[in-house]
Amino acid sequence: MNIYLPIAEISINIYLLLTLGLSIGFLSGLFGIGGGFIASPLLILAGVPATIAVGTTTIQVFASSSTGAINHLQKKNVDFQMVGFLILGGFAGTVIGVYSLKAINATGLIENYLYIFYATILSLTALFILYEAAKENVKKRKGKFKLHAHSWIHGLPLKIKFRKSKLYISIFAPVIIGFFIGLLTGFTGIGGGFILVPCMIYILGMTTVSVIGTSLFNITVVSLISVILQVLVNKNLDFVLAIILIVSSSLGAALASRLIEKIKIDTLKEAFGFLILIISSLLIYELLRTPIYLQTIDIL
Amino acid sequence: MKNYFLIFLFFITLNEIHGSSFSLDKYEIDIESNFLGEEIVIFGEKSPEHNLIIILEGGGKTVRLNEKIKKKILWINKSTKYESIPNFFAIFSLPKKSLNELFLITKIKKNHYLISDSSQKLFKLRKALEQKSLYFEKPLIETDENLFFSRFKIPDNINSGLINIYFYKILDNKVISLTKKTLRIKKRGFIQKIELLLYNNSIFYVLILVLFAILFSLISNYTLRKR
Repeated sequence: MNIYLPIAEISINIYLLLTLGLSIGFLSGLFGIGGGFIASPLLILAGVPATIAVGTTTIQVFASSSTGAINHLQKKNVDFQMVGFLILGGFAGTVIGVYSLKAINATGLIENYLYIFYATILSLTALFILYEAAKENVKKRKGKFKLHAHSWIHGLPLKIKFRKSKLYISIFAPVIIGFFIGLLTGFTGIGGGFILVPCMIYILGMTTVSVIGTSLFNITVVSLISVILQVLVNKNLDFVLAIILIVSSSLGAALASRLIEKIKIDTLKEAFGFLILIISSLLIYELLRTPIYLQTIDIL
Repeated sequence: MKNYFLIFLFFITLNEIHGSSFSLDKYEIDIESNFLGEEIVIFGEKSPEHNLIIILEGGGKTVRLNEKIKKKILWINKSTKYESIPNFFAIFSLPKKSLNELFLITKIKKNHYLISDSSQKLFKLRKALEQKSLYFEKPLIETDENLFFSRFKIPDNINSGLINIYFYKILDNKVISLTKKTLRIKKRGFIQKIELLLYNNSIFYVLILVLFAILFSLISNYTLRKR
């Protein structure tokens, strides 16, 4: 059964979209991720125009991160000082990301850029997950490990105290990280939690429980900014596709929360790593294979 | 059986078509939430001495032609923008004529830019439109008593707007008469409201989606999740 997507101006199999949304929600529920970095490339591979996939994924990221953010707000697990600077950088990054999407879309090269970008980022993430899964046992045996190394980011000026996170670092550190996460959200629709959390732990040196809450709050606000900008600037958010993704991914996440105790997460982490590797391989294959059609047309 | 139905259809609409000798089974297509494209029947009467060419041409739009070119190991797009290219183009002929034969008919070449010559540029544009089912060439099927018909599909990726239908009677590669009609494609109902909301009231569009996202996530979180 197909459904017509009014903004994408195509009809697409509704069961395919529901399965996709459920799977993304399920994975996000299991691993605490927004799922944008899987949703966006899979939607493009399913035939949704690239810019529509990016814009619509952003609202799905917003939906999946907002519930978590509200939960952490209630538990007072958000470092508002830190999130303020992250959002400051995130806002600038999102604006540049959204306008870059518009500019590159106008050249007709958006699919090339996104495929290369997703393939790179998914491959790196998959390798990171597989590496982390393999390293976990070694870490457990050694008992302790150095949480973060002092790098150039700690030499930046304008240092202030972040009381909640018990840190004394430059305001530029979260602004720079926030900027790159915002750029990612605006340009690709990805929430960036899988990059932000390691950055907060390994680069900023956050150790408290507020890492996840702060990260989720930042993703919620930045994805909301991105949703507004995508609609105002690119008009690339499909209402029907968004509703299907929000509903199915929420149900998938709820299902994951019921099954999480019955599943061995360590084993699943490896499977998840391989799944991401398969998706990135598909994207690489799309770039390398001889196209079926040598000419395509976009009606503007 | 289907042919008899069409002939019957032709006779009952004969009053409507008056002087012209062709008709469509519908002149308006509504794009609604269940729109998967629409099949249309074109039918009419033909005098034995004439050849027929029917051309359906959508409104002129700015298009971007993406050509896949290989750079080292990657296939990348080389894009070129063109103005006033029809967003839909279909050619029906009786007897079946190739494009090369159509190029010999001056008036048709003049009236329809997309088939005005055999250049690479227009060839690529036709191919790209064909790939999206927005360009095709079909023969008209002749039935008894000089009647003809053909079926075609308006694809689901069609833009709303008007499609002009040109009915040419041809004798010795010359147009001896031309009749024009229009087919209207319109978004309706929910689909139309969504599009209008996005373009005319973007902030309200965002607000509805954001509120829905928050509410649905919260409801599913509190009702379905295991505590």
